[in-house]
Amino acid sequence: MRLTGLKAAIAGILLLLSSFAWVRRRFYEVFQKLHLILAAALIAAIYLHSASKNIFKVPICYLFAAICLQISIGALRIGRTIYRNIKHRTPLSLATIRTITYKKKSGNKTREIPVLDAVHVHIRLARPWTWRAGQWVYLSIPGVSRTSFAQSHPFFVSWWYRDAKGDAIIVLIVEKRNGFTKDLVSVDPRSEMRAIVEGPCGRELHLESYGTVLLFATGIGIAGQLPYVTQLLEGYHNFEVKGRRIALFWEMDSERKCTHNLSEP
Amino acid sequence: MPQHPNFTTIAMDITQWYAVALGGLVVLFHVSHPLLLIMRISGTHIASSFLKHLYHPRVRLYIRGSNRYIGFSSKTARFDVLLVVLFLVGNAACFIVEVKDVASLTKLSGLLCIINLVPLALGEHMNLVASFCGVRLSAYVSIHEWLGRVVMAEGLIHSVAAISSRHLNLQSTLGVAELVVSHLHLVDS
Repeated sequence: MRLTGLKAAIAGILLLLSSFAWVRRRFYEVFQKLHLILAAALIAAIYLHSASKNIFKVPICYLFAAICLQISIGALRIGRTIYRNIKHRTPLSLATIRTITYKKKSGNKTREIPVLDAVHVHIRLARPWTWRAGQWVYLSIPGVSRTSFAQSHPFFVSWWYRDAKGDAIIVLIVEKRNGFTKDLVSVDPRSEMRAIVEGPCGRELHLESYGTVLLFATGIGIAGQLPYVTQLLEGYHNFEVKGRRIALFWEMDSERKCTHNLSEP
Repeated sequence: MPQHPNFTTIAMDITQWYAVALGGLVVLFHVSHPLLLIMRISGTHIASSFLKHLYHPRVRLYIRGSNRYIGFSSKTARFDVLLVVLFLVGNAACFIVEVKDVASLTKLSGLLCIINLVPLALGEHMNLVASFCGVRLSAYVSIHEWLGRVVMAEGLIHSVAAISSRHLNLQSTLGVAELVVSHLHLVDS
């Protein structure tokens, strides 16, 4: 009884220590995995610690409910990911990295300046969905680096189109930060990589009925606002939107940075 | 008057009431998006004042002169704070009603700790759950954190009460280890 209690206490302490904001910020990837493992360990330790082992009696039935919730949410997530990425007789989702270029007009010539700190990721989807503004996906590309198979990160879907073959392709704008995105930016552009897309998540804000729409963005935040502009303009042409005016305020650090992530329509 | 034979089996103790109330609160929180839609459409005075004074206003619980927020993020609404306060009050009420001696304290804190683990398990992939239910992620995060804090505190109370209730054998390494553990616990929280 004492020993099992000690185990539960140790699991609890590790869980507490690993959840401090300082640890979370610095070692987020490790924290994320460790948190789930420690939570499972804590539940197991409490199970061993409790006197009665009947899963329908009072202390254990709560633990049983907690485990069931965890397992069912995990299973739903995995099921949804499999559904999104695997379709019969359809190739798996593939991601292509494209360098963003900034077209600068000087006289008659147009110079193309590549943007160094952001890339477009074009993903050909195995199973497309009806695309709406405000949606984001979890993206995992196992081929980017050694540890990237275990990482998946959320990105806003900035726009989508159909290519020459008629496949649906979504475009994400990825800014270079640390970790996964740093590796992603340094990957050779135009190479196709297997991608795992999870989603779509997020709820749309319904802006159709407003006369004036103000949109604010800072830096890469523009990735989430672009779809609203696209959708409002499309809706305006189809007489679905009442809006007369869209004002987009975009703040960024330098003009070089602004270098037009919008260059591809 | 003869008592109904099933009456005694139906009677629940306070922790079971607490578990039912907590479950109700958790379910209500997760279906709040469709409920709010209904409220907006209904347009009654109560619904609109609920939205105006409780659901939408943000609270700023920060230490003056710094940008650190106490217990909540900067995006927390009054409604989310109210949920957390209700949860804390529920826990405190259980302790006030049930605790009579150290043994009952040990039992109650252990039991409440396990009960609170159930909604804590919902935070496993909270980004997805929050987006699916249409709940604000910042609210989900702060509620998860508060649940975690309370679970840790109750675990601490449970272990301290269990240690103090029995005669400590300091010669045994296990006893020493337990002491160390409890001290660590105290330091951390």
